[in-house]
Amino acid sequence: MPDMPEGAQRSPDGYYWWDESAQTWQPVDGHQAATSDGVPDEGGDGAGQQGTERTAMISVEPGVVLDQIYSHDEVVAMVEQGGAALPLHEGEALA
Amino acid sequence: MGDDDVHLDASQYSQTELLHGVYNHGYQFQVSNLHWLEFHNRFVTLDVLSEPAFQLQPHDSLQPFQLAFTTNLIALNWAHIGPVILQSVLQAGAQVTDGQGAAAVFGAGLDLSTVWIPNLHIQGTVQVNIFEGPDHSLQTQVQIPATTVSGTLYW
Repeated sequence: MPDMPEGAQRSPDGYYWWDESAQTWQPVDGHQAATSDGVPDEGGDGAGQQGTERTAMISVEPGVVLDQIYSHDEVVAMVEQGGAALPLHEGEALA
Repeated sequence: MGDDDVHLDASQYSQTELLHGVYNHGYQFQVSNLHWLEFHNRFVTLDVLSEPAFQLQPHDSLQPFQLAFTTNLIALNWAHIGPVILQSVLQAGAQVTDGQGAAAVFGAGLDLSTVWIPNLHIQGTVQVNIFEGPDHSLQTQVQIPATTVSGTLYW
């Protein structure tokens, strides 16, 4: 088991650190090793120790999340940020 | 001078009117080997224009100015959109099963710090409705008509 380098990313529960070279989570000293698929083993203590594998399929329809009003200038700025310009109708001209 | 101002107002109105309509953008986001809280933080703070694991694709062929406005609208407001999507997923209280067929509920009430994600795919649609607002402004509504989360969870 490799030593945890200084500054390594720690899991929120603090029991694991991210091994960049192996691309997997490694246990901090004193905790159980991760399995070969990168998933920490179950059976230990703490939040990082995992329970049961569950397959999830969740479908939701959150609805309306934003309702806003934009001025012409704000619209033009947001269009231009995308590298495009609002087209003009025939016979129209911007001052 | 006054005539020029009137002409400019009319031009602006015609221009913004060109954006009126309903635009659907599909999105998907794939993650692996994360705790749920890491996934949550990454999803709600992501830059939809540059996050490699996040794809945003319009359902229909759009003019460049339509694509620019709707994409920027989504990107600028993702910090509001992302949390609503994840909150909805948690509130759904999804019934999930493990490898032995045992039922469990994923959602609110679960200690999310214990949830490990070997792989997760979230996809859905962001719908932008654009119509006339007051004083020739544009009123926009962003809706999330459908979101699906699939993958493997450990807890």
